[in-house]
Amino acid sequence: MYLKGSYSSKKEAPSTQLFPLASETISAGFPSPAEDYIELGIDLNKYLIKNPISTFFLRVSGNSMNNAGIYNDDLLIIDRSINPNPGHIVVALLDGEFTLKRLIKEGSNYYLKADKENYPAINLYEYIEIEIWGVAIHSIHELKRLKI
Amino acid sequence: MGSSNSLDTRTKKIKDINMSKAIIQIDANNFYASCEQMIDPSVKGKSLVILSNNDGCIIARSSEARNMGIPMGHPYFKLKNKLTKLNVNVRSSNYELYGDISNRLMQLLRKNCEEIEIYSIDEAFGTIKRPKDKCLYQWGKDLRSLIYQNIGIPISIGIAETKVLSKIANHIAKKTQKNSGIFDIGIIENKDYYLNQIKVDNVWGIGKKMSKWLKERGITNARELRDMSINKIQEKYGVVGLRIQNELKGKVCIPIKEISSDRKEICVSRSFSYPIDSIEELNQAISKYVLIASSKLRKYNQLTSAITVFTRTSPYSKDFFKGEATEKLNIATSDTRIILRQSLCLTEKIFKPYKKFIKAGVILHKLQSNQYKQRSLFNERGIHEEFHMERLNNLIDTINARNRKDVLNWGSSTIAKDWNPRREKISYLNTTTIENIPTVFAN
Repeated sequence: MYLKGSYSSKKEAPSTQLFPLASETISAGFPSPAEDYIELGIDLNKYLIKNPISTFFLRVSGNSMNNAGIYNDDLLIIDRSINPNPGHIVVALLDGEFTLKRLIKEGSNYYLKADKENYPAINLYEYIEIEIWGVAIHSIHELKRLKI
Repeated sequence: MGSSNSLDTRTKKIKDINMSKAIIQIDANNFYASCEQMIDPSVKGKSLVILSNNDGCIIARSSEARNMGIPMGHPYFKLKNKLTKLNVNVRSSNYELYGDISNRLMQLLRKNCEEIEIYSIDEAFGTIKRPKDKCLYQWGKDLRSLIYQNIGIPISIGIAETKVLSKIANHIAKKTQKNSGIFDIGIIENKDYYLNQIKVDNVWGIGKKMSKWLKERGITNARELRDMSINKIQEKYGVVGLRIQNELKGKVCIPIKEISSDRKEICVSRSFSYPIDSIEELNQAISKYVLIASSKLRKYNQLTSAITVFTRTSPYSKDFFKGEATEKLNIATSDTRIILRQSLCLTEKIFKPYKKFIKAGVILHKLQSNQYKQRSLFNERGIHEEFHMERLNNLIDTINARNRKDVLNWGSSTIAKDWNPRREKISYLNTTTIENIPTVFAN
């Protein structure tokens, strides 16, 4: 009677397509003793994504979450299966846009707040139309070379 | 460990006696529109219609658009002005997105049901255990909110003892607001009250002919169909009729099919964005469809032994023309090269000059599994060569799949592609290509 969320079991098909080049060739000579030890390499999907079913990607625009380590143009990974709780960085639906904020609780009030000074907090009770779309779990940031 | 295990199975068996099997039928509400609204906040909660291939007709509406009275299935060009006036959002169909979300939906259902039969892109049957005399409304409610949380798609759930009844339950779930998208018709007192309200036309499996026949005999609703004379229905419709009637009585006659049986044919066809009248362009289009069809064939590990190529002009044009030709193959194959060569020969046959073709397609039929491949006596190509071709084809599929675009193509399909179907209103937002993911604002 209990529902299973999207927490993945090991039975699921692997999320990646990694193809070791050496594994299937036909050779007439002595087989390489290393054949059985070919590893597929590090699977970043496995590391970054716990629940493939509920995971979505968004592109970040803007710098109001820099203090949280999220920058303009970063690739954001969202897991919708996580229940949003105070302290989480969340994607919220506000005025027809996805907005990135931190969910804060003060007293009995919930707020959405940018991780930057002078940004007003949004009181969730004042906005009826607001919906938390998902909880952000990783931000992938490309390191650009500086011109020195 | 061993003893506790056997104890577990024993208690489980005792429990099972008090359990019966319930069938659930699930479908996503306004699936295509819901997918767009999930991924694109600018249309969330707004009126939205989705157009069919080539932006022809309206094939899906958000509930907001439906409430405005915008009809389903109507040609887009006829409603264009009205939609603009009413400020309705319009999107071309975005099958990459719908396919991905459908896949996620089915995986969630598979985790929460004992068996599952995927019925269409947005519809499935499943089974779960029903504790004795227990209403499964709460279970359905939990499943519904779980699916909404995970993938953002609202669904309706019908619960009953049989497939036919579960379809009816789903119908009721959708119709009445207070059920909030879930209805369990399995253990209710006033079942007849609900069955009386279901017209025979809406009973799953009843076609137009049969419903006419029933109405002529005074049978208008599901309750009357259930209670009508067995002999009468058997005489006219045999086992098929009896099956539906028994299912209405709560006896399972149409079981859940977990693995869909192997497909018998693959058809790839498209409408062009503008009419084409040259053999070169037709060849190009056919080649493209052959590539799609044959890579599908390999994906399901099947071989084809017959190919049909067809094309037609607009049915509204004065000199309507339809060309179609079929070729049987001596040896079943999944090799793009062979299928392509045959298809282009067939295209040559069906082409007629001065005709303006608006649609073409390829059908691969008499499919068989690659496992039981028969080697023909007259197979001129060596097994060795065949093996290499298979690997080449699979490699091309893999590379194209990894690059999300057909980077590797076969000669005849690579010239300009502007006859490709029109998708002017496509949002290009989706969940499967990194270039097209939505933006989240931090400003």
